[in-house]
Amino acid sequence: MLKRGLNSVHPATGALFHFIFILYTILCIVPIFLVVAVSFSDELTVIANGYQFIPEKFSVYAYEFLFKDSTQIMRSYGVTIFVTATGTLLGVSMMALYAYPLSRSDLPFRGPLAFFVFFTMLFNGGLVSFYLVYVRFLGLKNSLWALILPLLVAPFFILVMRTFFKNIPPELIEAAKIDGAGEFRIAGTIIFPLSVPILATVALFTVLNYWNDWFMSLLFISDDKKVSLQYLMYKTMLNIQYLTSNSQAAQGIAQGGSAVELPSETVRMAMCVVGIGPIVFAYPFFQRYFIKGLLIGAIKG
Amino acid sequence: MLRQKKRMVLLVLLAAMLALAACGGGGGGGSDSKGGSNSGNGGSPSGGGEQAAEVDASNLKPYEVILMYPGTPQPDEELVEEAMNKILKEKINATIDIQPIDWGAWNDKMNLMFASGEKADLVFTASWNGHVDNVTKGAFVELDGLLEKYGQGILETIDPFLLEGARVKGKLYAIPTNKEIAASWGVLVRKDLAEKYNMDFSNVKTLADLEPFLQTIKENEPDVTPLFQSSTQTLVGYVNGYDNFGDPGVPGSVKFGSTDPTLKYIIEQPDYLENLRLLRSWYLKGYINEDAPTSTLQANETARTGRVFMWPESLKPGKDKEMESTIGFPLTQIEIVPPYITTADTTNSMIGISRTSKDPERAMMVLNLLHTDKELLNLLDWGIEGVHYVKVSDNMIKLPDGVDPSKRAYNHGSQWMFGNQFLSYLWENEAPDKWDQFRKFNESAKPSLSLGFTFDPSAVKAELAVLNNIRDEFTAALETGSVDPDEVLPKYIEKAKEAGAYKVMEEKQRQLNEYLASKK
Amino acid sequence: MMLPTIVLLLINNYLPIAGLIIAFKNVNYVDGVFGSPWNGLNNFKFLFSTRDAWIITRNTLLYNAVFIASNIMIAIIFALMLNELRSRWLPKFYQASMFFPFFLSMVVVSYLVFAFLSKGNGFVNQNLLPLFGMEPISWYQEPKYWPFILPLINIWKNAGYYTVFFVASMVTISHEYYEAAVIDGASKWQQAIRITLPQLMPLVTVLTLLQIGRIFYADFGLFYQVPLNSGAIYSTTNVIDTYVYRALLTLGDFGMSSAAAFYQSVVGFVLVFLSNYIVRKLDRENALF
Repeated sequence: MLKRGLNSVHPATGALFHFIFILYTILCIVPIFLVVAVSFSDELTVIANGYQFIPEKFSVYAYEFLFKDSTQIMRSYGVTIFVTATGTLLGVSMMALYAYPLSRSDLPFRGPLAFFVFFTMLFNGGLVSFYLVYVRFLGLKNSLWALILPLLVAPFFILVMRTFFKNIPPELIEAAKIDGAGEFRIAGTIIFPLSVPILATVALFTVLNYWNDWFMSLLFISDDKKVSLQYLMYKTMLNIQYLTSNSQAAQGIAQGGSAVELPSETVRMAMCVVGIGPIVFAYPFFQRYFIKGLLIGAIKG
Repeated sequence: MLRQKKRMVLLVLLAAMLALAACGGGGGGGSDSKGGSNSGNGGSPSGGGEQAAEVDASNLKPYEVILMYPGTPQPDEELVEEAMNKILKEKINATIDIQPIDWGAWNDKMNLMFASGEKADLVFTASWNGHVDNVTKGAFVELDGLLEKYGQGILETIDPFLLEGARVKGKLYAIPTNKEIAASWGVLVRKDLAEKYNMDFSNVKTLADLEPFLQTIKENEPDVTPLFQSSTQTLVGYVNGYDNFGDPGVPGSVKFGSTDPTLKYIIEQPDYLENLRLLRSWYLKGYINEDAPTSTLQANETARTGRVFMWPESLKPGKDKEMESTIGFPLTQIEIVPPYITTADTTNSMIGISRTSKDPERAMMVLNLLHTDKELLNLLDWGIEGVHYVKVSDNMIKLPDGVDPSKRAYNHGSQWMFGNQFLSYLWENEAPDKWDQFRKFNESAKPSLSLGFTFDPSAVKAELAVLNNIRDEFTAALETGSVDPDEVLPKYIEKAKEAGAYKVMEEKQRQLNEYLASKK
Repeated sequence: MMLPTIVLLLINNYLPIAGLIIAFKNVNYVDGVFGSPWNGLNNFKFLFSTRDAWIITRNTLLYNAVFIASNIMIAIIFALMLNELRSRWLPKFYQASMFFPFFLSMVVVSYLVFAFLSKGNGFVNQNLLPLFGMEPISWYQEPKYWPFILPLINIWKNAGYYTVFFVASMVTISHEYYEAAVIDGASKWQQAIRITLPQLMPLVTVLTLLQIGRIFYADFGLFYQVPLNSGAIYSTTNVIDTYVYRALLTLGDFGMSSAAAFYQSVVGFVLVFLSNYIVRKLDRENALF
């Protein structure tokens, strides 16, 4: 991060910090290893003996099971990537374009406008009306746009972005205006370049939101070719949850006929790995943008 | 500059308000879809003397019937649809669109489908899946008239008890699948281990009779769990001998075989407490898996490891053989509660016609065919001959050579939801006379006094909502034996009473009495 | 500039709000949402009728209060610490790792927790407690431990997420302040308290206010999956969202689930309004609106 040189912490404190972080890092990474390990284990051994870090009996069964319909997985990866990329680009732009004026003290009605956005975080009309709007009013049933639109704008991020934008010294804006720059110009050439850290942050979280979403696919997509990856992975979990929490259903189904095939624990773990695999690399990609803040110092000078 | 901004903002707000006003009608209108389903809703006159309508395909316009059911979408679905369409087009100029919906999404999607008025024709429903509630909300079309006109095949083949049980307040809103109409309850047991220790199950009548066997296993097979239970699969829950009218969540049950219609609250009954104590002693003795109350595994999963000896199951003739191929070990079954026909049994698998159907008559015709046309039904159940299965004899099938059992392209496991199961092919590892056995089973089952009665919860929903939470809080822990019933059961009873359990029972009793009086 | 977002929010969020009336109606499909008969406050009864109802409200509030406070505090501490490390890439590595738990779905987390807390062969009972000479504990049957377990899991899962915000914020604090402070002889501790923290206050305020608005909503996965839906510990793990889910799983009543959502929204709204009001009095610019 920022180099301090003379202004550094005592080496002992530094070492302590490192120590704490190393412990915490282990706490965070180790479970992932466990998940991966279990996903490569033999199913019956896991049920009998529990989770091990080194699989007692190695097996790629879980992945075979998942990839047996590999075209489906490829399609869903495609859907998710498209939806994520489009949604993030569009969404971050829209949010930033809303947040920036909000941060300017000369914007009329900025109180109500902020409230307009915030209110949506508090009040929710319910699933039925939400569904009706998308399906009947907008006619987006089974459309990829139904996966994109609901997550485009997160009021949370708008308001956080506003805070960051406020930090930008007004003198810069004044100077630009004097030079005759229009609002859009100012936003594009001054504000946004200076705000790369927060834009990157919001972009990262938006990517995550889209990547992890399975609910929109559940609601709106009936064509298997268009479901998101997470939904594909997660729907089995949902099936499990349904049957293990609903004893009436379980009994009814048991009475009615054959047992529902639920995949084993190893498959559930493999689903997790497949679901999060790529996204884990998104983080380092975005991280380098957080460092760009060094620019601010330069400009201020 | 500022002025401009201000004007912009005002313009935007104005535009927004206009947009809102314009779509206020559209958005609201969406839910007012009394639309095209009027033709079915009460349109077909019910009552006697209706002639079965002669169906001439050339007079009918083409129509696509949507079949919605819970299950996993199958890769070869389209192929099967095509094959089914050939038959359907010829007979009634219809085509079918099979729409399986994953279990985890089923409730949400169904409710949304009804609420938004989306078209659907044949929809799976069951008493444990909110059938009565949906009927009250008007989700399903009344079927008596349609059945008379287009469902003669169904009327001829279906057991009258099934239809009887499916009625809600005397009217039919869904047709049950024709299959076994009763269920017996008991346990599945590892045959090989039983034989190893010379176990004789012929005298098992009560739960307590099982104890010596569990003890033997505990003492001699340290790696095997004698009795497996999970939070939703408990021995007491399965084998308590009470008829709870299809919904164990609603207080008020009657003992099987009783002729007295007075409802009792099962958790207050002495035999329930006795059973709990028994399970508790077993838990303490180590006969039951320790994680039972929180286990998310099913018995079938754990049984496959070979480390489980006995587990509770709903039984029917040949269930043990049926499960053997899934579990991979020889099994035998012990029946503890003999078969009774209850509303729950007759209504656990039905197909109804949604009020959003645009042609309920055609839907009924398709349903009728599923109950009478062997070829059509087996297409739906098992797929295409030669591709998904091959015939071993006239009625028995097996997988084609070279097909990996774990990679079948059409295997939804939902056969028990469709049509007339007695027409369905049998797999080669099942008993060839399975259907005959079923018929005998059906005939030997005694109807419970509650048959045909379904409880309408509308008046006591608030109490039930609270009771559901209370029930979830205590049932798994108590029934798996993981807590002391003498200490915990009184708390359960007290909380339930406070939440209005008696009020619910009174309402249920009132409805039951009314129903019984109307039958006389 | 703001137009697209406004239109989107209107359609996506405001239009459906008409659906809130479902909370006061007895909806049936024949009459549709707008034609169905009114039901007064009946749909709300199940939320308030018994002692349990107040327990879930209490649980939701308390847990969220703890979560808000702990997440922000820990995130700030971590961000501060990260800022002081001298290596170039280690902080990046630490931060990236802290983020991993965020990716895991709660279902998987519940399995992992089970591997720790399972009574029979969980890590804690088998390996940890014997070290201290303690008897195995039936974790999933004892309510009293969960008020500690759940916040810990929540922090573990979310600390990385919030730390990112604060790191991004710290990076924008001008170098000059620190240089001036050093010249004045300020210690690291003083720098943190006098410079960094105040600069972070706007962000802290915003984050806190935003979360207060959602204070009646809980992370369903955390409270349902992780305790494995164990009834014995409901008294400390049942929150409004799980209560409603359990209540309506078999009933499937729209009106009641709508009523619950309405209740959560209204309370959050009132609380946020109040908090925002207070913040405005103290420091106008930091208020949400």
